[in-house]
Amino acid sequence: MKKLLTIVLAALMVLTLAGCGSKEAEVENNEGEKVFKVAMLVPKIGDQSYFDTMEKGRKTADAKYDNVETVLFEVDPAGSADEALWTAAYDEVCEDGAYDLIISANNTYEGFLYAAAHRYPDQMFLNADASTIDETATNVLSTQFGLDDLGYVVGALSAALTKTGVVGVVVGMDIPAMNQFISGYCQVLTAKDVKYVISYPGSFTDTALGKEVTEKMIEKEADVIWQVAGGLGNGVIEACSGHDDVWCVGVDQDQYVQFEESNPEWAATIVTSALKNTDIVIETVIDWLVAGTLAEHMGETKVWGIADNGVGIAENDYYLANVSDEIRADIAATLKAVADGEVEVYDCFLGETDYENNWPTHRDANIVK
Amino acid sequence: MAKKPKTNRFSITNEKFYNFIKLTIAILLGLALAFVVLCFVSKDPVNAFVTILTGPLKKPRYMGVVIEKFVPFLFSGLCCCLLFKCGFFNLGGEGIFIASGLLMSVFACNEQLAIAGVHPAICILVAAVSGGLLMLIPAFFKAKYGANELVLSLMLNSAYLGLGTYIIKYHFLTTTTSLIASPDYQPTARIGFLSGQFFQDYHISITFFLGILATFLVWFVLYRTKLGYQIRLVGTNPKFADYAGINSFSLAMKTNFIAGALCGIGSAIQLLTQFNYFNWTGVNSPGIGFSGALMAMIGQSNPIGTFFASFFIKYLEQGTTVLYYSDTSVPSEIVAIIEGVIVLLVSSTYFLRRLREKKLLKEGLQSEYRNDREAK
Amino acid sequence: MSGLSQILASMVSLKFVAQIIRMSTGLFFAATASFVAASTGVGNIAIESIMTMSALFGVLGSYWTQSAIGGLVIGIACGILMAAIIAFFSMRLGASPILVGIALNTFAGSLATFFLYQFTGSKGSSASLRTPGFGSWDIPVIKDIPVLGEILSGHYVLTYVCVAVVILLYILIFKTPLGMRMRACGLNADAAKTAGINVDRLRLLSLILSGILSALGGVFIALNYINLYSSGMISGQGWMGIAANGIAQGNYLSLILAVLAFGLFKAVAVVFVGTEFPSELIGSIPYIAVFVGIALISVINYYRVKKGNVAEK
Repeated sequence: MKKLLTIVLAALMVLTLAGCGSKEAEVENNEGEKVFKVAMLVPKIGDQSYFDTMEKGRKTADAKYDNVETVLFEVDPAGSADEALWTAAYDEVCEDGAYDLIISANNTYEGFLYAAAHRYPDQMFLNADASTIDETATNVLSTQFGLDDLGYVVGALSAALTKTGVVGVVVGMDIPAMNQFISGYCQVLTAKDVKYVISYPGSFTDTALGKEVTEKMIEKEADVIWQVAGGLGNGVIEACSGHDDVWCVGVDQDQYVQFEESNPEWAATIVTSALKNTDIVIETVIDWLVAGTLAEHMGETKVWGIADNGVGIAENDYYLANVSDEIRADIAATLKAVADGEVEVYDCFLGETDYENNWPTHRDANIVK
Repeated sequence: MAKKPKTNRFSITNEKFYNFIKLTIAILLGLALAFVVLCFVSKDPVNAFVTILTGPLKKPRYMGVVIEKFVPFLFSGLCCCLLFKCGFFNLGGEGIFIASGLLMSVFACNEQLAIAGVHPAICILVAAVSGGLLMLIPAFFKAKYGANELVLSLMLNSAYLGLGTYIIKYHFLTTTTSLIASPDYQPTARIGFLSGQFFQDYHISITFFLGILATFLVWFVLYRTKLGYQIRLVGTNPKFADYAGINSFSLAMKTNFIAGALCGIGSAIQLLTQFNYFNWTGVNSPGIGFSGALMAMIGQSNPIGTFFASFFIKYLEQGTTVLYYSDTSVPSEIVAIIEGVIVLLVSSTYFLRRLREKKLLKEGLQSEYRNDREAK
Repeated sequence: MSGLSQILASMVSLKFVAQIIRMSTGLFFAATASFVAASTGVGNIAIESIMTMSALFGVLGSYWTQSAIGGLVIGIACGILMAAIIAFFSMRLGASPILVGIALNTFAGSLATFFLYQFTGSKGSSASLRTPGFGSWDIPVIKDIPVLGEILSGHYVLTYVCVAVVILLYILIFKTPLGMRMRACGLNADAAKTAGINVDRLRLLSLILSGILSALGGVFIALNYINLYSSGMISGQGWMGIAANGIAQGNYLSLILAVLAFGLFKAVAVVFVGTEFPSELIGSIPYIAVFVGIALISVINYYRVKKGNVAEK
């Protein structure tokens, strides 16, 4: 009994000490000014590409405005897409109408967003990366990206940089939403007669697997490898960094800048990144929210292409230093040509039958198995 | 033996009261540790702590989530309850949730069975029978050949997960979304809430009453039937049970079948009340099988205790979730700390033991003292 | 079936052998951890969770000390702490080691996420932190030898440590008096006590060793194989280690063979990923094989005892 008492007393002492150290709760902005509240629901952050880009956008928007409060909810750290979990999460944020805008994204989870949109028709939603083009709702603003254009440019760059004549791409999953990235990629590589290897590891999180499949690709002589696989891509980057003559192309955000401080060996292998500027989309949408024009856009499906700065490639100092002027000029010209519509880029979703019937042929045109 | 002195019901020497005290102190210590952690993590620890304890009471929907969620865990807990009482460490529950769930999903998606009311009943029945049969596999090798049922059941869990993923990916994949999941269930298979505002608000469906019924049945079987007596006897002293002529093989088969059936029912309930498809593939093992073992531990292998343990744990989890949504600096994972402390302390037979032994000696209850010393 | 034959052809290569060794390192640590705990009769089924927590704290430790060794030390400390918790609750407080193991396994995932969130603000991975890790080692002379060079040289630093550990453990358990006393505890604890052996202390020792080995496995995966912690990265290697020990039944050589077999299957599964052949089925084979193996062994033992040839264990 004595021992128990000692423990309890000790605990109480620690509590009091710690309690003294805890900070005061922050005083709210109570000036009667309208404060816009935005909630962002993601499975988790920390993947260094996809969701981190969204998080970047949220933080920038939050810092920019005094009258905007944003909150991030990491709903599903295990990435299980557990229906009960997500339904409860959306109920939690929508129920009391506490938030002016709810943001989420991603092919795997957007079903839950639309379900919530139907349950709460007065709530405004932003789907920052829509892929299910048949799902719409009057209270959801859907965003799509010109991924096929982006893939085309990356393909052109890979063709220009390769010394072995073989390049590769690691695509998280073999689903239409992801294949949209490489529809232009395969097109331009076939046109330039550069061979390519495609790997579908079937996961966006298993970094060890990413590393293994990349090593296999390098064995097949691929020397410019593009990762389009979220968290799994970290394994791809690691594998590329182990070989001096292999370039890696990042995805979603400027991964060179991301790893510059924390992991220079990885950063050194990233010649550029295929940007999918979800952060700019989020910032722009929050701008509209503050300006009061957001409601007009509800129900729209907006495509952000090269011209709107929705997609592009990262042209940072490293890119400038490592890619010759000639190639850079070529790529800049390609970017412009695609943006102006001079080049007709193969689009996965051209017609309902196009994907099932024609996509495999298109994809495998110059493939190395 | 000398005349047994009257034991005070509220003394620690009384077995039941001792268990109660142990549980209470374990809970208090768990909460205390959580509070200490909160002080470091949150800006307003007192408020956070209060939210964890009272959060679910704020809205009917919160309690509804607790009620909805705890039933499958209850079934898993009852399964482990039976097995622990029998002295079996068959942890196949986890794998059975996946295997029975998958099998049941095939039936749930089937259009020919789409008759309201009958459809869920068939699904639950399928899950129960398959669960019972699957649980027998490791049990068989243990009961007849003395193999280590723990390792066998763990291996099957992993095997079922891999096989299940394969079956979903290559033979039973949904075509409407890009998830690695089964096609959507027929609407008639899903179990909804009972009609009536109260039931709707609190998410009460027929499964809640099934849970209560199951708890009562397990309690009844364990403590009021011959089978239950045999189970408890085998659990406490297998050799004596053998000499007493109990056929331990057939007993093991019966117990494991019932336990497995309970797990199967739990799986069916989890899927039919909260999901529209089956997506326990890859690394998404639902974890309910192992959590059930923990509930049984906290409930000290007693069905009624398991009932309250499951409810309480889910209540706490919901409390931490409510806290997270109002203050994201405290991740809901903090509940793991509370649960961990409670489980570890409660399953420790020596916890507060010395205290009990001293009192037992004092009150001259020699035989109880000896029992206590020998029990492990 | 040209696809299959092409795939099989790619497997017959030195690179593949090197890959098997790569994928087995984590498994070796897990298997030896399970073995050493089982040798004194106290089962440790919390290996998966110890690997997870050690992986996390190994990475965090590397971040705090900005050195790989620092990470290794902190990771091992974490492993020892968890083993001590198992020992405390099972030996001092009388809980069953299996139940303690289940409890730890269930909570480690959430706990790891909790700490990860506290220190990095992300529930997903530690990629935002600068965490120096271990690299590979090209052994100076050996690496130039034609065939052996590719197989023996250029592996991860911790793989070489693993080889050393496996050999050292064998010597400890089977060639020293201490090891013999440990095995005595495992075979018949009561007889050992009568012989004057301090069973409790040896069990504690074996648990601590088990914790250290599991920690090495976790640190290997998070600081050497991939320089990162992300949730769920251990993905069942702890369980495979337990499986390998389950099939070895106390025989060290069987343990090594089992681990290599599992490593082989893992490597094969990777080869099949993304092809039209199901890698998930291949990934299940080790578990089914162990199940069949243990079941068979139990049946064989049963009939041997029945025939009266062998005394009942």
